[in-house]
Amino acid sequence: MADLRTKLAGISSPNPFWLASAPPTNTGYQVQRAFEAGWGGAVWKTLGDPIINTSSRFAAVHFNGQRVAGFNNIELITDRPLEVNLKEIYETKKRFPNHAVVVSLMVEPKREKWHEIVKKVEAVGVDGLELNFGCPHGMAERGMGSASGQQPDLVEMQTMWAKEAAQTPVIVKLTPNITDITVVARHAVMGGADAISLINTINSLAGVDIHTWNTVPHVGGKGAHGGYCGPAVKPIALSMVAECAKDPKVSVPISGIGGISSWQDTVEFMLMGATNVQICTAAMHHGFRIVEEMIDGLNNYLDDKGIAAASDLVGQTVPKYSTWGELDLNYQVVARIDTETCINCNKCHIACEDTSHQCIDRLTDANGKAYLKVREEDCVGCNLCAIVCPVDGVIDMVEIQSRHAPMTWNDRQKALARMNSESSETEAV
Amino acid sequence: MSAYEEYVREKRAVDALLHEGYVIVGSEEELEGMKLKLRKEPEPEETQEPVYAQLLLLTADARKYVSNLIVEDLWKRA
Ligand SMILES: Cc1cc2nc3c(=O)[nH]c(=O)nc-3n(C[C@H](O)[C@H](O)[C@H](O)COP(=O)(O)O)c2cc1C
Ligand code: SF4
Ligand code: SF4
Repeated sequence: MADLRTKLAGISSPNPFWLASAPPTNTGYQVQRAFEAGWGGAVWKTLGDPIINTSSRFAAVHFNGQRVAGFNNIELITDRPLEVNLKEIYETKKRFPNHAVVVSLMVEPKREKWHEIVKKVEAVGVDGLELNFGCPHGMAERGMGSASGQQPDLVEMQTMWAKEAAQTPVIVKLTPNITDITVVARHAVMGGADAISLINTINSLAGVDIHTWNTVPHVGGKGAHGGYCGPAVKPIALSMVAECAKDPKVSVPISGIGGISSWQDTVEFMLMGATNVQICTAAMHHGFRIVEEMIDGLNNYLDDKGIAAASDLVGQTVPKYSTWGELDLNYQVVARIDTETCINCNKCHIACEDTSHQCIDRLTDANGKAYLKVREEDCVGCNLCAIVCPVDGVIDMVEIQSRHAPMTWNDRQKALARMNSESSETEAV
Repeated sequence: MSAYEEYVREKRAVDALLHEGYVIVGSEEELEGMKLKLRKEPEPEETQEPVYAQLLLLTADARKYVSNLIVEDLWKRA
């Protein structure tokens, strides 16, 4: 049995699975039930200045029969009284002393406001604080959430204010609604953040009802942009986590969030630099018990690989995540079709013929049977045919040994520049 | 003509000049492709000036091929 314990900036947790600050962590009843189910930690639904929510808040994007490929919401932070939340946080931590109880906070960008809430929350005994600079709707219109999260100097200053009063670790939760997330991450670190968490939700409109012409969701016929999350956002979240993990100026631990629904997703985020993960949509879709399979799956994976501790995964793939200019231009793969298992659906041929490099030939064998064959010398190794093929394993992308040593674009540009500068003939070209 | 055949045609043109004793001495990349300048030194007993040749390479694979030659040459000399 592998050691699943994690420590994020000093916050210990029996496993890397935390519930993200959202409806699943709205009350003590819910968080305690989640801990009973096996979750290692929870970030309490954001506390802050009083709000009023709308009715009709969520919408989902279903894709080709797959429910909840993406999830959209216009919910704000907690609408429950602060005192009630604090009492329940206290009771929860008392009942579950070994679980991570972190509380999410969002107040106006004023020093005294941050001091006040930090002190009140820490007084009930929490393991850490998460500053919500990410909520893209509603709160942002009031200058909070992503509105301040999009201004690196405001992130830095508010982190500093929270840190002035805080005794426990401060995690800064980042908004993805920004061009370069590492800029904000660096400012959070400059403000004293002990860790960062990302991503919060992405600006979105789930849809438009083509019969009523209302937005989806709508509140009495009117809509407003919401925040997108769930499986659809995972690649965006993963790349943002990776960007932060490989930036030496973002030198704090990362809590990975965004579209995580399985132990496999968790492993990916950890390999890409996350110390732990936070989950919202998957829990809303399937309930707290999904964590059981996640724990088992992670455990078996680590045992199978002979890895003693989950924490050994953290960041292993980061050195492999480079820039385009450092990729080997001589690396070459080509598609190979297994005619034994191919069901002759022709999807790969159409894809390559219409939208790639026209190199899958339709041939007929000696018995008059149709088959497909890749002209390997023309195949650019784009992977499209393997992506569209409905049968796993029929199309293999096979590496072709290059006659040349690895050469990156950056190597090439340097060599060309050197040759041209050495050659007195250059002007004559 | 398949992309591979176009590449082979351009590669052969490069190889033919190299075979004749030309060396690549300059390159310039423009919208049309990669202009390659090659130079052939006169035989020691000859007195003429060096001879130049130019090639315009259009295919990505041919441009990659000569890039490899240039990079490898640089390593050899390093
Ligand atoms: C309905 C809903 C409400 C949310 N409320 C909050 C919140 O109060 N504070 C916060 O920091 N994030 C909030 N989030 C964002 C989540 O914590 C999380 O960052 C996001 O959903 C991405 O994770 P997921 O793809 O696992 O859902 C909310 C998300 C949803 C769906
Ligand atoms: S990998 Fe791309 S180019 Fe090669 S056969 Fe498949 S679709 Fe065509
Ligand atoms: S898509 Fe896959 S199964 Fe269909 S013809 Fe191509 S190789 Fe065969």
